[in-house]
Amino acid sequence: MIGNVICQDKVDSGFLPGEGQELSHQNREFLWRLFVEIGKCWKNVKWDSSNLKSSWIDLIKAKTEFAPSYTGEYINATYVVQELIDMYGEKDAFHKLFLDNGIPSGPPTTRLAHAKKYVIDEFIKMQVLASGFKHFGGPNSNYHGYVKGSRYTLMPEVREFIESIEESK
Amino acid sequence: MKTKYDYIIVGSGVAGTTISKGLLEHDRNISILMLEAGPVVEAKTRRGWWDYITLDRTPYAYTYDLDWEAKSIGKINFITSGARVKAYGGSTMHWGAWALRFKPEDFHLYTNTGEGGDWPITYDDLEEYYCKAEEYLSVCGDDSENWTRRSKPYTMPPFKWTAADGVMVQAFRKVGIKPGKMPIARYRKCMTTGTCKYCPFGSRFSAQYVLDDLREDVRHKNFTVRPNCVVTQIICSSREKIEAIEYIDSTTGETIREHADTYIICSGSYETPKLLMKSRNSYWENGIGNDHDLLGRFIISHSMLKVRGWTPKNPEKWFQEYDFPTLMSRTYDTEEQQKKGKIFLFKNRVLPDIDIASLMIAGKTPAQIDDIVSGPMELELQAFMEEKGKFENRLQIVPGKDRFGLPRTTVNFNRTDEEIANTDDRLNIMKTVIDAMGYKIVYAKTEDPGAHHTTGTCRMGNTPAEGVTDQNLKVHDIDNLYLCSNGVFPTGSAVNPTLTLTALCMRLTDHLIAQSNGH
Repeated sequence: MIGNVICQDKVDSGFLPGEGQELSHQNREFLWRLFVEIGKCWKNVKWDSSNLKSSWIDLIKAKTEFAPSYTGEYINATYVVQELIDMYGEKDAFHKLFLDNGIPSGPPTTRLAHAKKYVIDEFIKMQVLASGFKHFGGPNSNYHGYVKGSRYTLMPEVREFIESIEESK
Repeated sequence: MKTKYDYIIVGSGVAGTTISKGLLEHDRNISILMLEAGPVVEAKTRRGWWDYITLDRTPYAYTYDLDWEAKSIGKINFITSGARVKAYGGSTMHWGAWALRFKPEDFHLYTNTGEGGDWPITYDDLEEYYCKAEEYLSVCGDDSENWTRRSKPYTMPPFKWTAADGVMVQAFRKVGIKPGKMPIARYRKCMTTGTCKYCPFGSRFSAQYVLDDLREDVRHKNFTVRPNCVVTQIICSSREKIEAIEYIDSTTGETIREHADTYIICSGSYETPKLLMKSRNSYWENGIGNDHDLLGRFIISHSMLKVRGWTPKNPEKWFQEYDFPTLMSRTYDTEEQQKKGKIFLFKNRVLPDIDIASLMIAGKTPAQIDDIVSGPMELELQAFMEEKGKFENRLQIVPGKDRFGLPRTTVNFNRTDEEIANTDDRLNIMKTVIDAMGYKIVYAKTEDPGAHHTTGTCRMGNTPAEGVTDQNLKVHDIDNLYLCSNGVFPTGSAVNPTLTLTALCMRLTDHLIAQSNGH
């Protein structure tokens, strides 16, 4: 498993406590940077994910302002990722974190595993549904969670099957 | 508290809500007490939606039956877990909103086949209410398909077939099956997020939204909804008259009796007969309306038939884009097929299942994900198969209560050898479609029935020996007790029951209004 004393620190598999805490500006900036790195790794978004920021802010707000709060998990993730950057350098740190982290399967019992399950994995899901899926699907595709828009606009909301008149007879 | 209501309605799902709405629209001052055993689960919350997206967790899932709360004891496993939402608003919180009409022959199954039951009403008796129900639920459909006669068009145009439907559409045509577009209850504000199970915009009909509107309407001064209130007894003052309802407020433990002129039990196909069974007294020794031991009997739902096909490549990179199927067919949902068992065909709504986020989470590189997306693909043809009610297939109460204070349940469900052979015959029809697609068949199987579409447990009939209620859903021999749930259906057809239930609710509402006007 990657990382050192912080990443491999053993913790309970339940939510890391964070009730009553608030994310600092620094925490938020760091978490946003982590989110942007997802798009850089898989090259599946444009404009450095800037067009996804409003959805990301909505996610963070919902996850920290309502119980159970993710604040403890988010702060934990900043320490974990900082240790990886300090050890491996920025480029390798994110590569290892996303693609080669060595975390065993099962409930998360280390700080690294917590960061992966509750922060990185959820950020990935959010990124994909917010438009990251488009890179992998065909043109005009839709995806669960993507707000494609009303079916009454000119743009088709999904990739459609259009039959010829001969075929439909 | 009020001393006597005009109506007490037990259950806050689509039936109780639709009836309440109709009665209040007729007279805003009417007094209705609605009692719901379950809690209130908030809809349309941002946190609820994000948890659904990131954790695949819905806020109402904890109300689903646990195995020890509803057990299957027959040879066929009748699966209750996951089928019903025991909360304010009921199961339309999680339904897929497929909204199809029964067909005329579904009302005469016994006459046509010698099995199952006959309804004491016909399709034509219900047709105008089907039109109203489609408008109320905002059903999008294709009028040109003409599966059954209708006097008004659909309220909105259908959702079109997706690109991934195309190969199955063409295969349908090759084997002589007419492809159609699934009628779906979606409002104009649908934003095609594909997260219908917890829609962030409220675009899929849910009784909860209607109930919220009714409660918040300042004109409805005498409309009261009490969640967390488990009705335990229906009290008779004579054989012909219900005097009161007794319930326990789960939050305080208090036992309370309330009185009304008319009582309507809308507690679904499980709890409606169970409440009547429990309500024994000197006038009804076997339970209210149960002199002929029909409560809980004839239980049916739909078997799900599945044939899955595989192809080595997905060059167009299709994946499933809606959270509901768009392709269906009623070619085998006809009178000619009733004896062997009608099937309602539809394409599996989750395939091709390319979960891109899961691939990234598993550490797949962009190139690996590209290969997977355009690599082997599976599609699946599914079908609901009509079951025919049998007296010996039954739902019963057993000692003990569930987490919400409702009696625990057993379901004893079995099939005949002939029925099992018929499902194999239906699967062979479905296999021809997968073959015509040029796909390799991975499996063809019949799954155990899920309780989502349970009907028959307190069915309608012309006489007390044939049914628990009459054609107006009034319990035979009782002046002021009505039942309105899927349980009153004598047959289950091959399609989802909610549109038909909604139509019945509207018909019952008209009947109650006519009664109150002295007609």
